[in-house]
Amino acid sequence: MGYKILLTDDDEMVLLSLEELLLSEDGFDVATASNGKEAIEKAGADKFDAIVLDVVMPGMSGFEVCRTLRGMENTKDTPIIMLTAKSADADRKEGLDAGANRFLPKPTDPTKFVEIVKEVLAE
Amino acid sequence: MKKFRDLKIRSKLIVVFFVVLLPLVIAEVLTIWSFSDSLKSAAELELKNIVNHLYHMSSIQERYSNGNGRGLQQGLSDGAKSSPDKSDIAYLKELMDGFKIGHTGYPYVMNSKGVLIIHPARAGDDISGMKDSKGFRFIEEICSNAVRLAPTEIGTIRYPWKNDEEGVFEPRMKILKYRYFEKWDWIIAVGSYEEEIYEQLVKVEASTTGILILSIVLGIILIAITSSLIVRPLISLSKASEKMSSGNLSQRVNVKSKGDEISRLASNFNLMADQIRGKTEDLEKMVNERTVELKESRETYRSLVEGTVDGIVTTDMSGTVTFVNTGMETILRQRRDDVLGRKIFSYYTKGIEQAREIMGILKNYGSVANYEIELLTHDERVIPIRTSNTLLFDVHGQMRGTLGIFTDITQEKKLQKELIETQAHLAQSMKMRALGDLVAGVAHEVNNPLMAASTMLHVLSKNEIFNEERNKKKIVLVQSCHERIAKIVNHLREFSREAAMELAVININTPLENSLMIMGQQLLNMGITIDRQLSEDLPLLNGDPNYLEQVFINLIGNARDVLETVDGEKVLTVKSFSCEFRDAPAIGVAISDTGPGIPDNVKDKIFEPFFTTKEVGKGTGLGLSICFGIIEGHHGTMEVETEIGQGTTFIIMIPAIEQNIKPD
Repeated sequence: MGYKILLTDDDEMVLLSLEELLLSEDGFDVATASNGKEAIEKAGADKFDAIVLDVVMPGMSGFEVCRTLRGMENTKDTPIIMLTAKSADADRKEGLDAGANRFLPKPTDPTKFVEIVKEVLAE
Repeated sequence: MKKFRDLKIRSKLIVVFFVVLLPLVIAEVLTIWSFSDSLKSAAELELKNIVNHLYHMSSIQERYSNGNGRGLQQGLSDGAKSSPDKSDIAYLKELMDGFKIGHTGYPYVMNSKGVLIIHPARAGDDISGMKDSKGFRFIEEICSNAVRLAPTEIGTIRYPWKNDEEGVFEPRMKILKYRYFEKWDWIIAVGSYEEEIYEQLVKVEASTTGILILSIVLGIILIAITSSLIVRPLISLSKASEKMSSGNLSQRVNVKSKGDEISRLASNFNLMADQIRGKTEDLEKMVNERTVELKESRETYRSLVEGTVDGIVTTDMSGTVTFVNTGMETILRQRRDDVLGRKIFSYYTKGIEQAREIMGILKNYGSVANYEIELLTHDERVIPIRTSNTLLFDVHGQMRGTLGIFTDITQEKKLQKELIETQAHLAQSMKMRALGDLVAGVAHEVNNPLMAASTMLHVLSKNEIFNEERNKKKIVLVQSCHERIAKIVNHLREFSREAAMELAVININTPLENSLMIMGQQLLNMGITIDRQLSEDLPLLNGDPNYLEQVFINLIGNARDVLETVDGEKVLTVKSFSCEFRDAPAIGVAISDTGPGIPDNVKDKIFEPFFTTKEVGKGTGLGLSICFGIIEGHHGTMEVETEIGQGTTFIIMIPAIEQNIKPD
């Protein structure tokens, strides 16, 4: 029985590649959401071991989703990793304030991404 | 000779007086002359009558005493001489004593020998030797003359006589008439002093002359009085008018007479003087008022002309300066005495040609407005000037010269230049901002597929199929493609500066030294000499050390790439120094190489994004443009100085912060 990870990104290519990456590793069960609303719904309906959020998305931004998730009983302690094409320090701060555990810039090195995911799961 | 009308009034009166008097005097003299002549002849006639009377008495006596018949007959016929008896003599003497001529004159008888026969005192005396007061024997003369006289002729003699007995010691002229009575050899003489005979005549002469003299004197006095009555007021009038004409208007004439022409003249004169004085006072008052107004208006214009900072110049038609104001002195930094008389175009950088151009416009249009020229001052400064000119005309409408107003537009030009620079800067910034947004968008859009692709490649690379050597090589190639794309995307993101700068108070030497430390080994390996000239005494600045480090690494890296191609000496000079930037303290950094330099056509574009001279894949063309953006973010500037064959220097200047702030 592996870890359940929820991947959220509006870009289907990114979503698919990260799903393939995690599935190529042993012991990961992956669910995907293509926007914030969907991510919140799925996170509310199921229990995940970690959640990956893209920042820039149509509708709700990753920060908003993160804040919402932190307010939900189901996900208040779930590790959240934020991905963004923005690398500005202000973004990083906002992400961490919103309750994210990690903040990764895009493009993210696949090896590093796996490492970070494993890291937050170990905590 | 003066004409009569030119003579003074007094002289005129005198002339008139004498002209009137002269015929009077002549008439008088003529009257006296003719009157005395007749008086004289009457007096002499009296003497003559007495002589004749005595002669006839003697003749009668002679006939009477020589008997009747015979006497008359004989007497008439033969005329023989006889002698008078005593009774004859006594009778005749008695007769003669009755005659008195004047006061002292008397008749007497003497014979031709000069013996007195009848005489009041000296009868019987021989007086033939008697002399007059001049010593002339006048008796002898009488005696000799008398005997030669015709029987009826009367002789006359005049002689000066002095009679001591009479108490008169001056000789006086005597006149003597005599007749010879041949029968008795008698000389009958009657004599007297002339003055006694002419006494009446003398009296008439004296009175007439007296009256004449009196009338002359009276005339002169009258002339004097009349002339003084006429002339004196005239003289005082003339003196008063002379004084008036020399400006003393308080002159009045005082004339004693009343009602005559002179007094009317005088009162008219005084009236006229009063009027002149009144008018003159009005005039003076008016002149004073006008003078004050003129002064005020002159002062107003003077302060207008001298108060303005603009230069005001007038010239004559040949361009010679005839007036300059204080403003022009300030512009030219020359005193007006040194400017006056010079040709205005000697200050024009384009000289007389410029003056002709302006004059041409002036003659065609009457004025020149806001014409831009340059003045060359005596201390060799070139001053940009905006000038407006008009023609000056004299009262006859004749062109007299030009009036020029010169405005120093140095400051304006400077501001204009700064404005243009600022605008260019702004345009550049906006261009960069637009470009940044575009680049950020592109980077973001490229990012996701790139990430997806490289992730998928990573997943695939773990597949056994790709472990075969043949396939692995292809995967590695794709991976390096991804890396290159990732690098470009990173660069683009840096260019768009999505990450904000973290400013801190720093010393520029810190990022400089860091970048040298990072690059140092590389440079040494390539045989490049590093010349460090970092100033120890630098002001601090507000900056992001990481960004600045990035700039320096970029510049040093460029220098390294250039020096790599150089065969000779390879020197990299890194210099920091204090300087001024936009009139404020600043810190400067200069990074120089001894490379081949940058051609002009390249130099203009090196800060433009995506411009590169490097081979494809070696540079993105964003390095210098990113550096430029970073320095601009520090409110600084970055310039390049380059010389073909000598090398290139990048100069960065960043404003310093206030001195009292210390680094963290």
